[in-house]
Amino acid sequence: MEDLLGKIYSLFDSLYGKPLSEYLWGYNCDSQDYSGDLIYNQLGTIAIITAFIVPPVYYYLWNPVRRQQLKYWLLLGGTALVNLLIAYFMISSDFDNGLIGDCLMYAEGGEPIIGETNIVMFGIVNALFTAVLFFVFSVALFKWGSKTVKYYPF
Amino acid sequence: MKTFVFGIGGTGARVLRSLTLLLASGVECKSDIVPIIIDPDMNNGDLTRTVSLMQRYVAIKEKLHFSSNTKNGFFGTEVVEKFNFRLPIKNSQDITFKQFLDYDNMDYASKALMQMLYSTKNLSSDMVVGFKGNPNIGSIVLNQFSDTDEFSNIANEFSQGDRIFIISSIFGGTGASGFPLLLKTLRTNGSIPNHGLINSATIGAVTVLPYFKVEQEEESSIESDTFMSKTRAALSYYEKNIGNKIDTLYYIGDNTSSNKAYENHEGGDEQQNKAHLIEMLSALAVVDFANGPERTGSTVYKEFGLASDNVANVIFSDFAPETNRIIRRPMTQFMFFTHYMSHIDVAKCIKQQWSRNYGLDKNFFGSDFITDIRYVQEEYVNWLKEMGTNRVGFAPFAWDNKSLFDIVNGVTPSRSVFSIFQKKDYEQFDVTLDKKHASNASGTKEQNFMELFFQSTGDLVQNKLNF
Repeated sequence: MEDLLGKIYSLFDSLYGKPLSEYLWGYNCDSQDYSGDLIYNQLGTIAIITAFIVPPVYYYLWNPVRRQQLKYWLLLGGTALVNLLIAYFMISSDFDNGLIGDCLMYAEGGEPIIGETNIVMFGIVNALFTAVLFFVFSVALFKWGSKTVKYYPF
Repeated sequence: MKTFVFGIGGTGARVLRSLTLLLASGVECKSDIVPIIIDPDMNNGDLTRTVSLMQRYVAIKEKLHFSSNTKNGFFGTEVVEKFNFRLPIKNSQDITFKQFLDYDNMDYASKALMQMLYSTKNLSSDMVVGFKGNPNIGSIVLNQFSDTDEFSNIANEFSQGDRIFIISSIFGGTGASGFPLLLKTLRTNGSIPNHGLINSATIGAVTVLPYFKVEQEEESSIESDTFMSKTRAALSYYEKNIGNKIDTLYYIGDNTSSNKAYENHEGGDEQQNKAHLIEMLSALAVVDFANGPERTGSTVYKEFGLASDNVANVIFSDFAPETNRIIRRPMTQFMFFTHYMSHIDVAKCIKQQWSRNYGLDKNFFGSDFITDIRYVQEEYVNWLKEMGTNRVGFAPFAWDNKSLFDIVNGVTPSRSVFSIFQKKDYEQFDVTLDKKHASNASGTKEQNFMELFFQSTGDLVQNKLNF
């Protein structure tokens, strides 16, 4: 179970690259094992928590009665964007602070294999993951009890 | 129990218009109402407008069911349609009064008597638009309305416990003459069907004293200056001939000196006077009578008074608490309902949870039922606006761009510290509609729609206005 979130993210690691994925699994270049922080779990947990907390705000506190559909998708998009930014800044910070080991950062020829693009792409994957969770929680759990918007998103 | 309400002449029709709108708003009437308009002027604007309104009311009411579980009060009173709400007057169309009397075939003495009782203008007067303020003509022509099949049919419908109410003005032609004749027929005619029940029925009436005046027109037979003298003459007659025949008699009128004169129309489709507070209060007399006790044997005379003096524009707080208990809440609820329906378009409605819960789709909002409701609501607004511009005016609601909950004049909506978190106006209305769903009774779309709006407007009035 501990690996579940990482496995889900890894389904899309072709989008952001194996080296970054290894880092997110907690690979330590010095000890050549996975003794580092399991960042997949950290980001996944944040994604789950936000996707679990924000829909009830829509369904039970906000209770919109105008442009309900638009507001739902905006909230979903906003939550996903926040998770994109969280992922981006967290990994960028590690990147800037040199916490990603050289064995992951550079190819054998010395050219960098983790860069800005990889981080942004992972952020997008994290955002998509959050959006899917938001949608699933909305449909499976929260919308049915709403007094005003139980027919949204559909 | 039924109350047969005879509205005689133009005032009768206008009071029935007010009554219909009060009942639509949910003013409680414990009896079914059978409105019957007696007016030879079949094209009278006041009459046709009232008939059209009552037809819509009946069409709406047919779609609604009321039981002990029903909370809805809108259109809660059964209004029974008989003969398109009109009692025809035989042989009064397209002939002059002279022809009606068969004057040309009278002997010399009879002709002389007729000439003594009626002016040449009276005798040559046509009756297409009624009796043009001449009760002496009306008293002859209307004397035979009980001979019609329609009257017999109405009498046949009369049951034990049913009541009769007569609305008439005292200062015109049709009402002033029709009221005593109708009362005499109901109390003493032994040849009408169910005469035993009818002769001994509880009968009430409202006699409307002058409350408006008309512009001076040389060509017109109707002159405001004669209203008072006609009233005095009629009151003198009533004093001797009415009192012992009636159980409850309501008198109502207004000082007309400061009133703006209506356009002078003798009748026909152009006679469509603006609604007046006096008519609404006369309609409340019908409600008071229908909800009141059975006959006691002695006549009860009633008048209406305001709680405030010298008010140009009456608002709810100018009424006594007894009046407000009857009208304030239902009228305000119906006003909220009307505002919602006129401000929120169908596209928005069908996206709301409350409408989707009931399957109230585009087809429903385009149905005859909704069209009829919109018609009645439009009439409700027109009626209120007309009363607001009349003197004495009745202006319980504001028409400017205030927020929904600020529309009741003289009432400040309650606001709590949590109000900032609440939605405003129509959005708050929608939230209330959505939340009301759970406590709704199951039923047809029309039934659910009405239940929902009645309950929601009730909550809004209670929470925002505290009444």
